[in-house]
Amino acid sequence: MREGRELLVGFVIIAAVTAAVVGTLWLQGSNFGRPTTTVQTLLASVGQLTQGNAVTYRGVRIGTVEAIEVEPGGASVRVSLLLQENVGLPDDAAVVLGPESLFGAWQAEIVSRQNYPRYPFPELPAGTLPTGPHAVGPVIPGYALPELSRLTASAEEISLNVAELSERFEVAFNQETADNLTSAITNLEAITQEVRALVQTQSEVAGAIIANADSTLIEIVSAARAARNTFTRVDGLFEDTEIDSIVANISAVTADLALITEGLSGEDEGLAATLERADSAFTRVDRIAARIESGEGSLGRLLADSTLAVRAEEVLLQLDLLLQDVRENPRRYVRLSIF
Amino acid sequence: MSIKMVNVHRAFGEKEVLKGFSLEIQDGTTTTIIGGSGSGKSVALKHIVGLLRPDEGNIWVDEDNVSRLDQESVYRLRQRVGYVFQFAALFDSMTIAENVGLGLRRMSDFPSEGIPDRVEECLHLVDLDGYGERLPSQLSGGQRKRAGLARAIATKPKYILYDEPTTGLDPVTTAVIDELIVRMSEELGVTGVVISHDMKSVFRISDRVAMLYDGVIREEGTPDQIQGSDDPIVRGFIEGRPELMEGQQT
Amino acid sequence: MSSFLAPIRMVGRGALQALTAVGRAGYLGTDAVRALRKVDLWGPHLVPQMSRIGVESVPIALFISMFTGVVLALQASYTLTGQVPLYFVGALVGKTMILELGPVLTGLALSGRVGANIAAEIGTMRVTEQIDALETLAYDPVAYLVTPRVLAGAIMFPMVVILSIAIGIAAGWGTSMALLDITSTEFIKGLRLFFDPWDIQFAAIKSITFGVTVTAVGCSFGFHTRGGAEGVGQATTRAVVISSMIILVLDAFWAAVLLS
Repeated sequence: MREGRELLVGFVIIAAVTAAVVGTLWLQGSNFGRPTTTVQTLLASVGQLTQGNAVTYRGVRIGTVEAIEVEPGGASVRVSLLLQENVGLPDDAAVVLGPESLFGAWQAEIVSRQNYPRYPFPELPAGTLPTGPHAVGPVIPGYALPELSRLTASAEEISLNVAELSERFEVAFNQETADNLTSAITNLEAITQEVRALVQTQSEVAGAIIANADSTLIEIVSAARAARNTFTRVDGLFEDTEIDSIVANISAVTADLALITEGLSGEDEGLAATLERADSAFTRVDRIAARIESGEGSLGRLLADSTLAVRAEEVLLQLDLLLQDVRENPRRYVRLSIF
Repeated sequence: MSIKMVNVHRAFGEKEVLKGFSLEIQDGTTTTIIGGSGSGKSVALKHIVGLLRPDEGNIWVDEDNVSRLDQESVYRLRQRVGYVFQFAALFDSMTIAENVGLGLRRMSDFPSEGIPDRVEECLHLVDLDGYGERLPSQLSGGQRKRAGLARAIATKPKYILYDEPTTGLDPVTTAVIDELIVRMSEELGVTGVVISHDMKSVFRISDRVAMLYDGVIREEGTPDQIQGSDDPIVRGFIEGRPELMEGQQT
Repeated sequence: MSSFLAPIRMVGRGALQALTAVGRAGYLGTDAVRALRKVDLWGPHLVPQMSRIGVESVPIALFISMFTGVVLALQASYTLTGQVPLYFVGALVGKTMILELGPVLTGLALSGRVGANIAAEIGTMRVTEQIDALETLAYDPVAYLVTPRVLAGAIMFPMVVILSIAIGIAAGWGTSMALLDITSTEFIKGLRLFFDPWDIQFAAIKSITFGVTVTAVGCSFGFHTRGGAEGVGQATTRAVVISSMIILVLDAFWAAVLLS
């Protein structure tokens, strides 16, 4: 009777203690005596990481966070990770701290540094040694992902910048403007070539074909008119002062063309001088056109220089990547605690 | 060496039960305290073993002032005083032998291997030979009282206090218990204090009788003195004539 | 006293009675602790009391927590339908069983079973003068009766509670797999999600105080029983009511002190 009672009491106590100890270890994800090693990491901040959080490598849980302490001097935080011994880590291993799930605790993920070039891992001075009771393993750099509030703040900033940029861009440059500009330049080129060919022809046969001057004049006049129309259009498109100066140059050229026309309609002896002036005027147009094409001046830069557009594109791409990541891994950015 | 209660006062809430109770019990005698139900006889008795503490007054047992003793000394005192409860107060979960031997186990100078013999001896004294292995629930009322007596005498106390030892028993069993009380006094030399209102047995067992009335001892003397008392309260009580007691306050 | 004031008086009397009961139990508990040095008196009774208070309470405690676990799992899955992933059933069952329902439900059930039993037993001993008899036999009734019971309660309550928690979680797990669309892996994932070893200690600390409360209150009401069978009945009822109340107050107290 008495022995049986003692046996039962003992049984209940042992069962309860076993349940408590084994249950705790199991729920903690203990490795139940498998060989372990310690790796330490130095980082600027640990975010929401606490002792006992999981350590993963390639998505697999390989250990737990053993200790977290601020370094003497307060420059960084030293986190000790207790890992399974048999896991081979990459040579350029680093630790990224981030939320484990949408609702849960944080985790420490061991990564290869080359896969995350954009993360600002601290540069550890050579010969950084592990400290503490299990000072055996290596010390690797770490980085804690920004928390949601900081992330949204920077995303907002980026989107504001992008909005401002695209607004400016839209004012300065839309598709119609670009088309007009292109056609204007094309026209200018065409006219320049036409005029040059004409002048060349005229100078070669100047003496012999005065009689044909009338028909030639008509051609020049119509060409000049076309050119003037084109420049007027370009003039109307840009209010910008730098663009204005270009346009002013072009206007001057147009005026020169008018003079040529006048000169051609005058006396024969004045023809050679007129042709000379015309040549110089056309040379200027040619030069301006060439400059525009080669990307000089602000109008040219707008068309030719890729920096601005590419930079904008880069920002947009990053934002897109971020949004995509948020959509695919929301838990990394959202922390919600029910209990 | 005796039990001496001097001017003991004790109240329960508003109700004052003992109002200057004084009584001296001589060694080797059997003294009976008589009095009506609820007059405070049991209360007076419990003061002797320190189960109750007086509001005022002193109780001397031998050289100890019970009302001033600390708990440990009270426990030591109690090994000199046996107490027989009205309904025996045997422990239900223990056998009779275990009940009787319980007090012995607390006596540091009593060898534990001697307990069974002593228990048997005590059971023999109260004519309960062979009942040791029974549980209290398997005994009759009279047998239980005898077992209670056996438990009280197991530690060979100098004093035994009997709280209404014969109440509720048939006349034959009452006679047996009375016989036992006398035997304790004569054979073991025990000083007895008995509470009773069974007048027949009172005069059979007592050397002295004290009447408790309204919180004090009304009269104290030999059984003959009490029987010949002139006090109407005492006469009314022992003769069972309430009309004598009416209008006789104080 | 006008009839208008009667209810107010009743409230006051109830509060005073409850406070008196708590105070008496506190004193008795302190005496019981002080009596710990009288090992020869309580020692032999400890294991039998552990058996009565602890082992014999295991079946009812397990029964209660098993069904609690089942209900928790079903209600959690019902509540979490929609945006929250179903593995949260595991988190909810685990966290609730460990922190609250395991200790408190077991405590309340045992205040009925153990507290009533102790109050009735000691109350009967009181009215039949067995406690006085102990005193006259030079046994300190506190060391002999109270200390082993309170000690057994303090030791065995956490054991019963831990087994209850284990069974409750296991029942919730089984329910999740059998009746809900949750895999074992998911349930365990949820279970581990918020698990903190401190939770187990918290449950153990709570149940130790529950065990001391239930046994000390039971002993106290038993010790102060007056009158006959009716007095014993009253003592029993009050012991259960008062210890249940104290358990709930303690529960809130520990939550405020240890979880904040």
